[in-house]
Amino acid sequence: MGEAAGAADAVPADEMTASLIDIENVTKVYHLGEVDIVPLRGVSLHIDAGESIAIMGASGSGKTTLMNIIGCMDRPSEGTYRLDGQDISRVNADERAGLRNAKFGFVFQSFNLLSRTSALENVELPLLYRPGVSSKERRRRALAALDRVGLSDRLNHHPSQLSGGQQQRVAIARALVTDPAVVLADEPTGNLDSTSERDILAMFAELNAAGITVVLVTHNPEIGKHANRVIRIRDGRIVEEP
Amino acid sequence: MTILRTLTLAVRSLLRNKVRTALTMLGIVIGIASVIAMVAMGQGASSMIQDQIATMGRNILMVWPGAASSGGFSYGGGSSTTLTVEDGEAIVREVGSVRAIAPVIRARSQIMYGGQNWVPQSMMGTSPSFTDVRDWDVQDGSFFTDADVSSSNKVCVIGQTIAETLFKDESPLQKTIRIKNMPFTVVGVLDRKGTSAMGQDQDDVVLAPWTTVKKTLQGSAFSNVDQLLVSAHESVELASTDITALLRQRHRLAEREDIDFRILTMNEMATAATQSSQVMTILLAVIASISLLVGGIGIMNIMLVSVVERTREIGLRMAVGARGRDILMQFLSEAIAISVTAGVIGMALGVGAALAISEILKWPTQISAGSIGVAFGFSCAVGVFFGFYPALRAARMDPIEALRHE
Repeated sequence: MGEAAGAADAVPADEMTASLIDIENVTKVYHLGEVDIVPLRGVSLHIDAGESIAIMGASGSGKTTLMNIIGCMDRPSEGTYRLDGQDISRVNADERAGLRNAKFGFVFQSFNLLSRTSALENVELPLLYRPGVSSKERRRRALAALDRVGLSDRLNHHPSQLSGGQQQRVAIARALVTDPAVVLADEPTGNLDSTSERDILAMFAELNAAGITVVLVTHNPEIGKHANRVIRIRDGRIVEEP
Repeated sequence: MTILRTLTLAVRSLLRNKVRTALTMLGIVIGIASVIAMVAMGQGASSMIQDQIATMGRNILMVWPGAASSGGFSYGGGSSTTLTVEDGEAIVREVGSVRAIAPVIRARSQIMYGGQNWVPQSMMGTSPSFTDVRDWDVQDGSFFTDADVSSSNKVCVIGQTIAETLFKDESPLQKTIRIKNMPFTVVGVLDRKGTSAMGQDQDDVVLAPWTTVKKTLQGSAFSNVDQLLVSAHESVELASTDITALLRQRHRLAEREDIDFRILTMNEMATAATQSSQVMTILLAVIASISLLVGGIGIMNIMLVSVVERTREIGLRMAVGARGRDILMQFLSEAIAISVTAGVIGMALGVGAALAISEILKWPTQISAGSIGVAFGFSCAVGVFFGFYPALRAARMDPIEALRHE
């Protein structure tokens, strides 16, 4: 944990220079009828390119909301978000879709693979929404991504024909196929046995070593240990590490 | 995404649910097929009616006696006895727009030949100009002559149906048949004319000189007719006006008095018949369109179910970069792919059904390119119309909510 703390010191919260992700005093409010739910209350977070970060917290702490904002799935109610120096706090849904496709790879707890669709087609999916990629190019990149996660021999298998670990590896290949700057993983090992868990975590370490920024969201401290830096979040605020 | 890519995607996802897709298509298939088959039947019927009316002869008018009445009591149409053969002769003589005229006196009687007997649907007394007016020649022998008419000879001309029924393979010419137990010599056999617009077998006919029918068969000394068949030179309307004027004069009708005859042109009959068959065609097309509408609602229903079922898929696609309009296009093109494919199958089925109907049921059908085009356009429109709302619901989903959907 010493190392992680050191990394945090290296990028002080008030410095706004060359960070990949700059989140400044972000608040998120959901209006549910007459009740306001505030999952994030003034969060500031800076992530450099190439970092490996774990966002940890109990369920309901706001960690998923934070991840959704980082991944451009959602936008802050207040505060600013700069991605690569560009202020994207108020961009519209279509532009956010474009940013997600260009910058991020998502890995979910429940894999979210399309059933009755081959591994290869699942991996090709994000490139369908990237303009100017030919079907040949799409296939080539999907094959490369599947090779990278060691599933070259399972190209035409459907998710139901794959083990949980294999399914999550297909999902990782799908996240990698767009050459993202950041891979966002929400409880990626939550549905896996311990062997598969080790595999998947090793794979994230490998991706990070190859220069991809990895953001893991988890409630499990064991998994948090694998990150270089750990952010703890409670009741919508980032708390100091114990 | 390009259109081609979107369509490929749509077809693939439809193929993942083959049974459901096929069942959804069924409504449109039936709708399109029935529109095409119904319109083909309607148009076939109306062109058949027109053909049959044409068999009556060109530029034909019919003059009927009007209603007689005495003491405020009407005897109904045709009961007046004021329309006579002499009127007909006067019309030919004095009205320049009339080419030929034939009187018709109807009779009904059993006829016998050898051991067989038969009651023809139509037994008429007329004159030799009948062949000219009706444009109907004899096939064998000859028509009776004016001399036969003036001397009331017991001769007759028969239609094909009677020739076949009574004479089989024999030649009927110069044979003697008995009409009301009186011997008539068959002098000619008419050409085949077929079924009339009213569904009557026109070949089930016996023609004899009108004088013979009047005096011998009906025992009447008068010359009133049941009908005058008139063939006009060019304009039936002009002939109709001229005949009305002449008959008013001959029947000594005052300026304000109602006419005691009726004139009906074939054009009027044709118009009436065509109109009624057009109404039928429209009616059939409307009924068939309702099934298209029901099919469209079926598509909407399935698309709505599919959007809910695939909420997570929609969320995932949005997460990896699909914009609202990509999702909209995806679901819209699925709806269109369903309805267009169904439309094409329906067209093939409709054309097949129309051909089968004319082949097996001998009902005339006429497949028009127009109805096929309209049906195809309609099926595309159904897809867009009924697919749009579900697609919009999909496109408006929030990716976070959608991914959380169980």
